[in-house]
Amino acid sequence: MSYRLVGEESNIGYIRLARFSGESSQEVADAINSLLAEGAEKLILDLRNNGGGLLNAAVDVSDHFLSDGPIFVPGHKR
Amino acid sequence: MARFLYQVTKDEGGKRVPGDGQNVGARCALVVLINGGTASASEIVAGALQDRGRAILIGDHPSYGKGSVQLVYDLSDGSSLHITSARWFTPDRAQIDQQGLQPDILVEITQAGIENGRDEVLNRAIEFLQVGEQAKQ
Repeated sequence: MSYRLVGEESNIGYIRLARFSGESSQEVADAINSLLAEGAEKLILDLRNNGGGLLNAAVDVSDHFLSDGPIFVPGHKR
Repeated sequence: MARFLYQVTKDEGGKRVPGDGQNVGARCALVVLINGGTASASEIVAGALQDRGRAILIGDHPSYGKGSVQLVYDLSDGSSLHITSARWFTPDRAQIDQQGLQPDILVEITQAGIENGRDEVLNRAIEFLQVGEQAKQ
């Protein structure tokens, strides 16, 4: 995981996440907090070439960006 | 604030499972970058944020479309549980399997961009966030 400010005014926080691991949720939360503290007003989450990983981590990372409500619906087709 | 996992049962009834999260990034404008290598759990994240209207997806290609995955849950005792799931659905019940997620803004990667080391997808995302909806035209 890596993060930095981007944009001409350095007011956009960019977070690169290559995989969802057990540390991802805390790492992304820390990255968001750091970027906001450094003046980020908008965010970019880069999931290119991220092949997946732990479901828990994915749901928790999603949750950092949502105030409430569903993340996904596991379904079964008959 | 709670987030919910909906359990879809055979009779299509729903059941909410509350979870916890930190919501630290809940108030900023958000773009998620995807490409053909964005798969599985990443599609869950991108799909959820797109479906909830929380983020727009920008990329040069739809996501992988891996809807049947093996889920790995971390359990509190340190062990892990592997489940082979059937299908993924986003909160609005759109099916991720096979088709993948469509970027809201599809960016064309150019030869000149490659040769000059430009990340055209990232640049488009920055432009979108700076200019807003107008940049979609």
